[in-house]
Amino acid sequence: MSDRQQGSVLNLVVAHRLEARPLIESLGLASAGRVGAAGFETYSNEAGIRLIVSGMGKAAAATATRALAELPNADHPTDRHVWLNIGIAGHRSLPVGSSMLANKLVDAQTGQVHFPTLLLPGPASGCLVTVNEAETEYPLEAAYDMEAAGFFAAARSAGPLELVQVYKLISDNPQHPTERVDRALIARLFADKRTEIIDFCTALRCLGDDYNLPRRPSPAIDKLLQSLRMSVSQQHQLRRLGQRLQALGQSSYLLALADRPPASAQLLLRSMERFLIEAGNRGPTGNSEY
Amino acid sequence: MFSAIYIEAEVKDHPRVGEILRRFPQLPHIECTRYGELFNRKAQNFRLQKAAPALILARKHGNLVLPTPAGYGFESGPGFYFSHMLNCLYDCRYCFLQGMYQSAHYVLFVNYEDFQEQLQQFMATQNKAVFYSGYDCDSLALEPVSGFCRFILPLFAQNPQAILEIRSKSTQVRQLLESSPLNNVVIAMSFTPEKDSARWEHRVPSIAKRIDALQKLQAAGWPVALRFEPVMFGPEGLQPYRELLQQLADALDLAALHSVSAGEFRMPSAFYKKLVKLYPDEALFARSTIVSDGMTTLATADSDAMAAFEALLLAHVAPSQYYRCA
Repeated sequence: MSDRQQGSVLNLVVAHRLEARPLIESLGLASAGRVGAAGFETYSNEAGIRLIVSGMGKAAAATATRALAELPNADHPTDRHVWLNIGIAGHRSLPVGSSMLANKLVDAQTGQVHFPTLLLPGPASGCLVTVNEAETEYPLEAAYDMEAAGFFAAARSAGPLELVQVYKLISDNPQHPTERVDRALIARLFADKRTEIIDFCTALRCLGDDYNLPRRPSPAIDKLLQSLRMSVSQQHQLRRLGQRLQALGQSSYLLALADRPPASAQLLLRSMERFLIEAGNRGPTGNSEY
Repeated sequence: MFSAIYIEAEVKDHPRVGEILRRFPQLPHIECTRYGELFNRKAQNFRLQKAAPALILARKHGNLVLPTPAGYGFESGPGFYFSHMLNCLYDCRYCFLQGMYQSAHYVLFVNYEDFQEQLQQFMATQNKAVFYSGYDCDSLALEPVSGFCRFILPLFAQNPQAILEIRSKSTQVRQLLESSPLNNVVIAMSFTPEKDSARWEHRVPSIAKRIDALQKLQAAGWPVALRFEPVMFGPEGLQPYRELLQQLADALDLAALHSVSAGEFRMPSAFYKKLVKLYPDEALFARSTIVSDGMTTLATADSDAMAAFEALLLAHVAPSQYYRCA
C-alpha cells in the first residue's frame, strides 16, 4: 500500500494563471490536463494536491470547483476533500503585500453571507466581499475579490464546512489602485508569502486528515469487500464492524479474517458481530474478569 | 480560549457584549444577523470545530425557562430548566450535546434580564419549584467571562422557596466562595472514575481539583451534591467506583450532601448515531449497545451492574439522599 497517496486531497481553486504559476512552482505541480465542459486547466502532484485555474468571476469559480469535485480520488474514494481558494484581492486599509483569511464572505450581488470556520493558525482574518467587477472605491472595511463567494458556495456542498477556506493576498488599495497590479507584483506577493501559504496548506490538509483518516476502511476491509459478494447494506455493515474492531484494538482479528474469509458475507458479518460482543465485554485490555 | 467572537446584530450595542469584546481585543469580532446562521448550519463537523470553538454572543427569544422532562432531577415538585449558554467548554466524549447540536461553538445569551424576568414569573406561580441550570452547558465553566451566576444568584437569595441546581464539572467557584451561601442553591458536581475521566473527559479539571472545590464549597456552607453520570462499567467492574467513592468520602461530609444521583450512559438514538459518525474510531462507541424506545444505552455483560453500583453507593449515603436519573 506504500504507493498510495496517504494524506487528504487538497484542492486549490485559483482564478488566474498568473496566480497559479507561483503555486505550481512552490508545490511541484505538473499539468494534469483539462476538465469540465469549459476545459479548465488543472495541475497536480503525487502528494495529493490539485489546482484548477477557474478564470475570473464567481460563476467561473463555482463551475471550476464543481468540476474539480467530480474528479475521482482513486486511492481513497470515501474521503472528503480539503478546499482552498487562493488569490489576490483589494482592501480598503490593509497594505499591499499583506495576507488574510476570510472569516465572513459576502456576495455583493445576492447579499448571501457565508462564514468560513476559523480553526487554523494563519494570517489575520477579515471580511471579504465578492463583487462582479473590480472594486475601485473600497466602500467597506473589507477585502474585495471576484471569486470567493462562488467558490465557497460550490465547495461547501462537497464536504464539511471546516475544510473550505479562503486565503487572499492584498494587491491593491486606495493608495495603490488596481491599474498598478501587474505580473511582477503578483509574483512578488506570492513569493513573499510562500512559507505562510505552504504552512497553511499543510495545516489544512492535517485538518482534512483529522476528518478522513478515522473514516477510512482498513486494507483488510478493502480485501474482504473484494473477496465476497455483498449487498450495499452488507458493505455498510462490514465497514462499521471493521471500524468497531479497530477502535477496540482488534485489527489482528480483522487481518486474519481477510486472509481466510468465511464462505459468505452473512457468515462473515455474523462472526464479526459475535467477536465484537466478546471483545467489548473483555474491554480494551482483554481482561475478561468482568 | 476562543477562535473568534461572533456578535448578533441585535446585541452588538449591549453593555455585556461590549465588556466581553473589550476583554478579547485580539480575537476577530464578526457580526452576524442571527446566531442560527452559524450555529445551525448543516455540514458542520462538531469534532473538527471542537479544536477551536468560537464564542457567539446572542439574544435568546421566546420561552427561556422550560419544564423538565418527566423524571428529571431530585424533587417530585415542578421542575424547570434554563440555559443561558449552549455547549460546553469541556470535551467529554460521551456528551449528548455532540449529538444534539450541529456546531461546537459556544453560544452565550446575554439578555440575562429576560431570564431573570421569566424565572420570577415561575417563582410567583409555582411553589417550591426547582430550577436546573447546566442542561445545555456547564453552568460554571465560563463564569469568569459570563458572570451569569453572579447575576442570577441574588434572585434566588430573594426567593428562598425556589431551588436552583447549578450543575458543573468546573472548579470556577471563587465567586461562590466570596458570596454568602444560599440554602436553596445546590452546586452539583459530576464525576466518573479517574481512568474514565482521563480517557473521556478532555479539558475537565482533575477529580482531585473538583473534590477540592466541592470541599471548599461545603465548608463554606453551600449545599453540594454528587452526580454520577454517565455510569459506565469497564473490565474492572465496580472497583474504579469504589476508589472514587472512597476519595469523595475522605474529603466530604457525605451525610450532609444535598443529594446524590446516578444514571447510566443513555441518549436518544439519533444523537448516538451522530456521535458514532463523528468518532468512528472511539472505543466507547465500538461497544455493543441496546436500543429501546428511541434511546441507546451501552450493553454490559452483567445486567445487575447498576444495581451493584447503587448498593455500593448506598453504603456511603442514605437512601433519602439518593435518586436514580430517569
